[in-house]
Amino acid sequence: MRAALRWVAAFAALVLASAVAVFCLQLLVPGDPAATILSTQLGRQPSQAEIVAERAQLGLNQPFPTRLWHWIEGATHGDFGRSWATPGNVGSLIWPRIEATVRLGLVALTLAVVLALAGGIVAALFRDRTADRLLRVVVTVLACIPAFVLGVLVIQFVVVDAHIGQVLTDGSWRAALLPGALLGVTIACYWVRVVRAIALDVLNSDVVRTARARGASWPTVIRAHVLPRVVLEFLPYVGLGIGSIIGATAVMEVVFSWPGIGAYAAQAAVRRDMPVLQAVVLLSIITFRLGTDAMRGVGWILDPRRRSGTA
Amino acid sequence: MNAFAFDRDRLGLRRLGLRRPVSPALIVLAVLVIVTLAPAVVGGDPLNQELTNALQGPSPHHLLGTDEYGRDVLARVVHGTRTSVYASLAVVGIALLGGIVIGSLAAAVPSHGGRTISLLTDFFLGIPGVIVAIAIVGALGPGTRNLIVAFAITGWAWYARLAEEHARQLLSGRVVTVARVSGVPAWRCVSGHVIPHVFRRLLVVACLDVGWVVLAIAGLGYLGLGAQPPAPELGQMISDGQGYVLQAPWMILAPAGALMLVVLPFVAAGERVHGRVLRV
Amino acid sequence: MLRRSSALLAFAIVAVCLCAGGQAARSARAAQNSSPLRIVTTFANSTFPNPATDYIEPQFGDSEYLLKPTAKGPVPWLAKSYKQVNNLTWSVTLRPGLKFQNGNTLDAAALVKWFSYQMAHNPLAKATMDDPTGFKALNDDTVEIKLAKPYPGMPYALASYSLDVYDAATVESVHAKYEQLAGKGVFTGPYMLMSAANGTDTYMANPYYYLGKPKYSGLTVRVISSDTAGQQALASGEADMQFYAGTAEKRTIASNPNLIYKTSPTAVTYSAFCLNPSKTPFTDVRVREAFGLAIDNGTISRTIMDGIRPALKGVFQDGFPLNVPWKTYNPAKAEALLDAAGWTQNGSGPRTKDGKTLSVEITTYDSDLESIATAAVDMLRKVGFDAKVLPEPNWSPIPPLITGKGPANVTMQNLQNIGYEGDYYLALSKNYNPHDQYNLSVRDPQIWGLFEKLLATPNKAKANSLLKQALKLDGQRVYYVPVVANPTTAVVSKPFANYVVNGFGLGIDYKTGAR
Repeated sequence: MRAALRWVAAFAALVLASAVAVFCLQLLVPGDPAATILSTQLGRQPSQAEIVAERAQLGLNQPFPTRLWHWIEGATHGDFGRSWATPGNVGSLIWPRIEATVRLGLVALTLAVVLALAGGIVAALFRDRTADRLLRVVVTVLACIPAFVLGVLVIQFVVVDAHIGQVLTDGSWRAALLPGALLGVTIACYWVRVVRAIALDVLNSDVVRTARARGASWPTVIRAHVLPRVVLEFLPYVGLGIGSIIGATAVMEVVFSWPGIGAYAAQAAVRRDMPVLQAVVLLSIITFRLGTDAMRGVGWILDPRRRSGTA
Repeated sequence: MNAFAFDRDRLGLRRLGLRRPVSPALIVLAVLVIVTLAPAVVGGDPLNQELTNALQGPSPHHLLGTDEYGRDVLARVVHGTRTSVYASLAVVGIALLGGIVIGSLAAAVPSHGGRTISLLTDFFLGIPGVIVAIAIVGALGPGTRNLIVAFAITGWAWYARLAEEHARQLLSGRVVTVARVSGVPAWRCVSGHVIPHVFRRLLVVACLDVGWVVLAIAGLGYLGLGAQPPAPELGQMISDGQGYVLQAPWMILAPAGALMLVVLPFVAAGERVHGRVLRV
Repeated sequence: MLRRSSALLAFAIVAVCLCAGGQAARSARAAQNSSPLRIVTTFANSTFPNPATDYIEPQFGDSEYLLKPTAKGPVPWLAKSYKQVNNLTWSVTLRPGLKFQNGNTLDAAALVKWFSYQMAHNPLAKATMDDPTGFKALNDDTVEIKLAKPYPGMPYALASYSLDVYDAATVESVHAKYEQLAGKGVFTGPYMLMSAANGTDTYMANPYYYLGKPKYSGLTVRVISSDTAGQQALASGEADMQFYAGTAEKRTIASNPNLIYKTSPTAVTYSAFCLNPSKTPFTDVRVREAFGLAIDNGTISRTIMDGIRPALKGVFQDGFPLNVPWKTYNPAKAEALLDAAGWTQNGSGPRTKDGKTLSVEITTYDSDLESIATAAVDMLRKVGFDAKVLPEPNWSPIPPLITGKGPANVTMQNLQNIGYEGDYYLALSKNYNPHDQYNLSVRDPQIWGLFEKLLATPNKAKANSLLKQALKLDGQRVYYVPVVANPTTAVVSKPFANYVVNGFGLGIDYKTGAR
């Protein structure tokens, strides 16, 4: 219980600190946001009076701490202010897109974990033999190719030419398979090595060697001893990898015109739309933290040492 | 992008010690030399347009063909690669130095001061790098310089954490204890002993990182946030070439190939290093 | 024997049934296609827009105006006729039996309510009609418009995209929560907006449309992030048409025989460089002339614009009777002018004078303008300018030419020549109007004086001759360098090869559909 309360307190502190830091990004922007917004909305040069009115409406005439407070207050119930580039509230612009990104991210994450585990364990089992060597070469080469390059080529040759998948993705699970698979493969490339190293350790451990000496077959050993231990030790890496998955998903969303929040953030960055970027960054930080903590929690729950009572 | 998944491996590198620290640095040096000399060797003007000669395939005059403005793709790729590598070196350099200083301070400054610095490092470790970099570039504006700033801001915490751990070990080690007892001031211990040692250890990691930072820079370039046209930028060239995949595939294949060639030595070296260490 | 003939008979019966069924299905489809027409566009329109300031809806058949703009002047649309009563008063008569998409009647009373609401909430509409004083319903279908002062922009203003007619009562009732207008059918066009979510807008056919049943049961308009995505969607059969395709797309679809690039016969805007005469180096007219002479419109039009946008020698296209051609391509003369102006060059670097470099920074705001600017940069370099294109997008404030604020000294814009309302006097006057705070304009009292006179005179011949004088001075002083005319563009898949692209704004009308 105490630990849970401490976690909540730490999490709240993190969110608050992140919100403040993220809002400070606005300080980096040169120029006058009010004039920018008006030019975009009206499609023409705004008059001085209009700029002054817009500044008042956006609250830009208030001192920075006041603005910060208002933003944080609004953020607690999902109101991230007005977009600078399109007419509308940031909240209404991004909430519908979050679902699509979550789907893509989950597909990518699941595939990456499965592929990394499979590849890493196989490589460890067949250490230094053909399968291992081949796998390592493939993984090394794939790790050098940026995911978006693969994406661009796949769209042309697989989607358009071979009619597999959609160009106009609609954010559904089915449409997420192709981009998610690409993402999963590229991310798994980096994880395979870690899993392999962990698996090698586990395969050399007393438990496994004893089991094999007692005549247990490989499938049983893998299922009962290797897999659980590898998964347990691999989990923290997955948690930490969520940060890079968030970023990689954003770029892939642009390639596949995926109606998600990452593509929208990329667009916002090009248009210098700070409120959208602030909201996306805050949500990303929260997601990253939740992901890491979730993996740690899962690991804690699954830890056999804890379960069996031995420290 | 794939960046942070890759650098989780670094936790394993803690057990690396000084195992082959020279190799990655040599790679960086080699890449730097090649990339600096290549534009002069290859020749050609990355900005010169020959509008009537656009979208032509590889020919003796244009070894990798021309783009939609008739510009020489080879020259653009070579110049763009140089920009990316320089930028990556800048990012890693700044992040490394900043991280080492902050990490050492976190270990050296006593009680609350050090803990606060450590907390700061924790906070920055928890931010998803690419998204925040996109936001920073969104705030500052596109361009190589702002890209460097953005990635340095999101990347220093890793080095800081590693530096902090190394520094703590060193500070509680024999050399420093003896020095302190004999009256050497704390700051001199840090600057004279801790920092150089930490630097040598982290240099391996940093050199390997140059590779994937190039990929990350290309990723933001693809989104249009990197070096602005008409300056050549590998990611931007891939984005521009998307519409011409069937007619002029060299527009995508050339920059993609260059990216691969630059990153491959780093990834391969990283794999070799890991292979050696973690197979203990 | 019997088996074979009965088999043949069965075969024949089946064949006839199939044909009949096919025929029936086809004619049913001809009556109204049950699947929606699928359009993609790079124009962002993802949240339900404020009808008072929105300008996208006419294109997707949602809203209509009182008059329709054409190259020969405005023609009746929702209004059956219009007439000028005196120099301050106009009257507009509606067609009989008009209804909004929600079934409410569009009569004079509704029109007056709409006029008042527009003037109160849409500053652009107010400016378009030059701040009228009042509207009155004279009878069931006629409305009288009173102006404060004589305004040359009438009746073209009634064909403006900022004056699309909607059901003001319903719009008012949502109290600025415009998302609630989804499905409320506040406009009059053949397709009504049902939902706008996640970058896809869905429209449904309007059952009350006064001209007849729309061809399709609905539309989907999907916003895409780039032209490439649009082209891929069309190639893979996921979309039927793409609106506003950039010129680069003509080349990228060249290898696909099923996609057709279409342009409008009329171009109402043109792309031009707008030089800031109060910023170095453009304070010297010789430098401005040199800039103009350095740019090869013909090559730009032929190569990067792939022939889609015709090269210009003046503000109008060749052959337009009011055109005053002045722009030529002569880099040698450009260099001579720069030498004469004191900008000298040693070696191959940019020219310098008194220690300053001849530098030019160009802002743009869309990809086609950026392409032109990028090509121009190279041409400018060849005569000694140090030119560079500033990063897109430039929804940062367009530096007004008069105040010279902001980093750039040149901006590329799409200026109106014929104009969206078909009123070219007014459209061109925006380039020089010192009172117009909404458009880029140069302060040149002599040229503006000519425009003022021509806008005030009712004599068309006199107005034309004054316009030509103004354009001649415009060409001599080189504040604006026209490059190419901009027809409207679309990419369609083969079944839609007959789609007519309207230069005044793409549109889906009730008849649009595959052959």
